[in-house]
Amino acid sequence: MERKFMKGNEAIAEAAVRAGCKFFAGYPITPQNEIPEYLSWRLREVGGDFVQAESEVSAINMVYGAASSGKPSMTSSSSTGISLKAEGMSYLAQAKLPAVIINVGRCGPGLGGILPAQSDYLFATKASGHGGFKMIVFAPSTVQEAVDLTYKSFDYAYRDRNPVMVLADGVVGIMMESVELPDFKEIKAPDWALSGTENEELKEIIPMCWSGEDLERDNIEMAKMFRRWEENDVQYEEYMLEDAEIVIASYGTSARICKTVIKEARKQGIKIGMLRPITLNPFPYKAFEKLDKSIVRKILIVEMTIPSQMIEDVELGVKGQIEIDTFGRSGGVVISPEEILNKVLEVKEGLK
Amino acid sequence: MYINIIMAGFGGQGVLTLGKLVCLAADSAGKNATFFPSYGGEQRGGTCNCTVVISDEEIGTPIVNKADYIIVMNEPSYDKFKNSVVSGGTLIINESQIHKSEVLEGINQVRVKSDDIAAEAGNRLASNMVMLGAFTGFTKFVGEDVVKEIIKESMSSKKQYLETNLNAFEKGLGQGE
Amino acid sequence: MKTLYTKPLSLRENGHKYCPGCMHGIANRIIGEAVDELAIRREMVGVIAVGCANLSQLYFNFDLIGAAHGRAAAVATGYKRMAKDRVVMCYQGDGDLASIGIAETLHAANRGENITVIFINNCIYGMTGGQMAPTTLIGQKSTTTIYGRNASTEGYPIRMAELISQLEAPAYVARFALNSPRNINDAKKGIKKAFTNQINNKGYSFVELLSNCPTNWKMNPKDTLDHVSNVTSKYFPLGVYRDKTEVEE
Repeated sequence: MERKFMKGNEAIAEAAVRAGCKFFAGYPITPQNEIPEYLSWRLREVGGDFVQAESEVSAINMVYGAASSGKPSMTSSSSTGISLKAEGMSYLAQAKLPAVIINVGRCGPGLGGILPAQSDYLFATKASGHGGFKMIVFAPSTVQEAVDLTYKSFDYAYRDRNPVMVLADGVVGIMMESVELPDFKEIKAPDWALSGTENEELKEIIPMCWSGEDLERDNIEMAKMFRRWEENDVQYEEYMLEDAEIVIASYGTSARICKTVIKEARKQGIKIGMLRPITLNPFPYKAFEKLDKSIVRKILIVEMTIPSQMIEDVELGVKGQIEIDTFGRSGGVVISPEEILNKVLEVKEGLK
Repeated sequence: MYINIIMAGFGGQGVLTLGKLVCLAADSAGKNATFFPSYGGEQRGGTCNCTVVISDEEIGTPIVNKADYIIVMNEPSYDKFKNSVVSGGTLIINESQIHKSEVLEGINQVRVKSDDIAAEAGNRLASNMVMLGAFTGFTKFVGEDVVKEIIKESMSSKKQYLETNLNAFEKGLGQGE
Repeated sequence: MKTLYTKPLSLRENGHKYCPGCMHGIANRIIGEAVDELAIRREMVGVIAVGCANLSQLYFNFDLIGAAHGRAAAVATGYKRMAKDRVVMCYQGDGDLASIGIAETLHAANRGENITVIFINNCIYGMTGGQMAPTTLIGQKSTTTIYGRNASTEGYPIRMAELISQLEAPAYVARFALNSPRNINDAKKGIKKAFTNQINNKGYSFVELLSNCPTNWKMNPKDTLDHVSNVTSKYFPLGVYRDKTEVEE
């Protein structure tokens, strides 16, 4: 382990290199530019390669090609650029190719703006492209977590032969923080890779099926994989939940800001805690389901997007058993601890 | 220890460098630190600021509207942030550029002629180093030797400026005490 | 007994599904022969486009990657960068290469990626049912230009070989036709040269093959041969537009 004070984007890039990433293609877009900038020189130091692509569309397809070789590959972008990668992510899923996609989110829709936001929740978790595929989606709350989750993403991508998304936001991307960097590892090219070395058997990476039955079989296998994720891969943090009558549901940078709020609210005698999804997909439905209804009186969803997007999953988790309220800022306005605290006080007042 | 600091000034006054050096010093002393720069579309000019949090415990929000310490290097920053210091907190003012003097209820004001002191130390542009000294002297967030080491490391590729910078830092130390 | 003619090892045993008279079959065949003759079947990776060219994934008997519509050159870029010992070929039609994928096509060429791009230009969208392609000729009827392509509203057919030969990086850019034994032999030589360039790390090679579409041209296959000679190749002249390797050798 090596400790370093690093910018989020650069830390994500270095974590990828340490996870064994050998190829990156990307296109400039704020606020993730330090990822391609860093990897443009860093990957060549470790025997990998970097291409500044002509577009995000091209970049994800370069990753598709590189992944076909079995070499760990990654691309990154921000919100509007991720929209352009939608087709490519769907192709990766159907071709059963592993890849890591980093989304350092900004505000939208449209060109929106370059400031941080969490407006891509539904896009990332429900339908990042056509055809009904899904990805494991990690939401780091700190630079350290961005490092750890990026590092792990490659393992999940190779385990499942499926793309994995790290959904960060502009704050995690451009802030600096001390991080422990993980050790270097290598991911060996699996048997399915087009390596052209061993046997005479020819290999194909094909994102389509000629027969409806074959494609349906693929769809069914994928559905089973989504179930397995829900059984085995859900990650979340419980923060001061024990006696909490108000439970904040928040992720990423918002959740980090909420920790400050919770400490302050506790000083004022409010019983409050947080349930923070780390995997947005698979979502911790069960963790919400098992909240003690005799104690928890309100769930407050805090996100940097308007209207709330995570509410669709929280509702599925609590099944109408607990009242839900939402609070958010949007358009690139970073939510402040003061305004969240005011909302908490308002919620508390309403409980009487 | 859990302190929030906002540093603000014109682009080119070394405000972001100041913030990063504070973080690096805290980090090397085993503390947690976060650095969040303001960012806009423009590449040059205009005011810029950053938020730094230093703590012995887990850091919550890396962005704050109110800070324990605010360092302002020019008048627009003074106007913007003079009311953002928490009660009992401290506003550190570059008196070489900020000539306003007003009573601000419930906070301390530390006035440092940092541009002029930097000029005495050998380079007016080392004003941020004077402020770093003043902040270190005033808060003792880490020992001054730790900060000096960080300055040396960060200047390893620009050795010709090291002496001036260290000089400016030392002169700043006394200002904060 | 001496074998004079046999199916190349680089083509699979199954018969093909191209429309009767379609020149994709000829293009597949000469690519297969070239690969066999250069003995690079084990190194070969075909990046297969969307459209009629997509069917070729059923016939080529070497490693294959299916690419999204227009993205073959980007896919080939990523793959070749990670597998420098492979010989990578993009196999693309005109809608794929010159319309939806023109950015990927031009930028891969401009970077001088060490790949071979085979471009089947038959001036029409085949698989989707005869819509206007970027290479559809002025006056040519298609299902989206039912009175014929009109330059004032649809612009002019794009000459890709000429366009690519304006770039600095490409090593070899040539256009052939598949409408006569002589032209087919020339095309095969061009394809072999393009593969050889890649094996010798000479960089990007582009081989355009003027092809036909009896179905959507609504012409019998024999007439398409004359049409390629008398009409298509008048607008898209055959020839070598760039050959850096000749200068070096």
